[in-house]
Amino acid sequence: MQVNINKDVNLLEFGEDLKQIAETDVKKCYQCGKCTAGCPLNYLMDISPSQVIRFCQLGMKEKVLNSRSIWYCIFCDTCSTRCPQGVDIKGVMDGLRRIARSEKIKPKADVRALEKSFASSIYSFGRVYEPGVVAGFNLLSGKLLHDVILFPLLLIKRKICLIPHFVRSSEVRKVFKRARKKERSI
Amino acid sequence: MNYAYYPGCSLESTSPDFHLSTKALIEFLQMDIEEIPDWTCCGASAIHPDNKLLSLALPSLTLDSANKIKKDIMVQCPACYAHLREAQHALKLEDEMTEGIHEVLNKKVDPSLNIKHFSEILVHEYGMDKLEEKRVKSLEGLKVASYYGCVIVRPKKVMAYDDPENPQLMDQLITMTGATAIDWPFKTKCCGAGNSISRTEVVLDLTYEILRMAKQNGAEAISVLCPLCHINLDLRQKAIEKRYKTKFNLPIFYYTQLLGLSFGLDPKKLALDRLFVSPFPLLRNKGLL
Repeated sequence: MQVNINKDVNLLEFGEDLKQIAETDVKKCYQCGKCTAGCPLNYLMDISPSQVIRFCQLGMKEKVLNSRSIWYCIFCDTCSTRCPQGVDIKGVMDGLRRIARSEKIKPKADVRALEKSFASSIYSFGRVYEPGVVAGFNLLSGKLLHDVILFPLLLIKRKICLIPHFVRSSEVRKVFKRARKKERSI
Repeated sequence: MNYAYYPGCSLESTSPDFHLSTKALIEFLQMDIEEIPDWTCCGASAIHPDNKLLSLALPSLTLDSANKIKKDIMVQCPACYAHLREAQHALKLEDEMTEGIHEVLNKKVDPSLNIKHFSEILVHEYGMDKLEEKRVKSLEGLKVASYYGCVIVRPKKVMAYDDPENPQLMDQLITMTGATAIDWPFKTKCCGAGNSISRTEVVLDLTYEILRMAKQNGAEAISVLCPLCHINLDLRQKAIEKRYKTKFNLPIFYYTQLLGLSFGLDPKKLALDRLFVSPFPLLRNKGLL
């Protein structure tokens, strides 16, 4: 792959940002490719996990933040577990997502819809109310009929709870509000 | 043994079979384990990509609940287990993040309690010898692939459960039942996990590989310890078969159900009838029912 390194990139700054956010040092990577070899989602990524790390080393922020790869990572941690240099590749992916979000870069995969729907379920009830999560996801993602076919199957097997449980929900809501306020102020 | 059970949201809704078979074992083995009354969601994988502080504060609430009743925590769901442990780890560091968690919760949470997976308690504390004494039926002749998934073994320094490439704990339990725990390479290969809802096709691709590898290595059934792995392999097995134009017909058991069978517990109590891929033809065929 041919790569043009932008002269303006500040190599040190991006590396330091990542060190702060992902708590790992990408400079340690010597490109053995073990992370890529074990990654179950590599087949759908536009740049492989080891390339993501290489681009981070080179300070190519735009390239990684606009990649599909950071949104396709499923955090299975196979990469970080196998890295001979102890680089937390999964942590870098997670950190890059947070940076992308703070810079208002649109995710390249449907991850936000589920996360939002999930978080609002916890916020509302204290525990997850799964029919609500799926319904919320379908609404937010526009895939209205997604998995609807499973609903009667789950009902027959009594594997769905129709009524949400409210547990410490007002306390949980306060925790959400305080954490969101604090995260914004950092 | 002084544990409080944290079932987590999945066991309470989509995985009652795991919940019921766990409770049946606790009762049968006369273990002194009760459910934490006011447990809340651990945050699952939906919170940490957005707000790290919140992802650590939510499970800390449950640590606080267990502290109130002065008990250690017993968990079944690996994702809950991971999030509780990560929160505990963060609370122990006593750094800026720890302070943040305390501030967000508006109280200090003591992280010194133990958090254990039920399988660890069975093997390391209850003891294999005692479990074997309770066995009334050998599941001899049944070939089972134990599938651990990712979260229970990784990250190793947080989970400290077993070897992340070739774990043995569930294999030990399967062997105890008299069944054969087959040797196979995909014990900790990812099933696609939370992509089940958002990107189902990814899950179908990954689980296809897992089912195929299990079958190739001679498995007649798979044993799991994660509710999400179970959904992806059991509930979605028909869709996997359709996508790849093949037939697996591999029953997916929770390890607790196989243990219960070997203890002679009622299949209804173990919720075997709630599995989507029916295990009954296989069990009858093997003379185990």
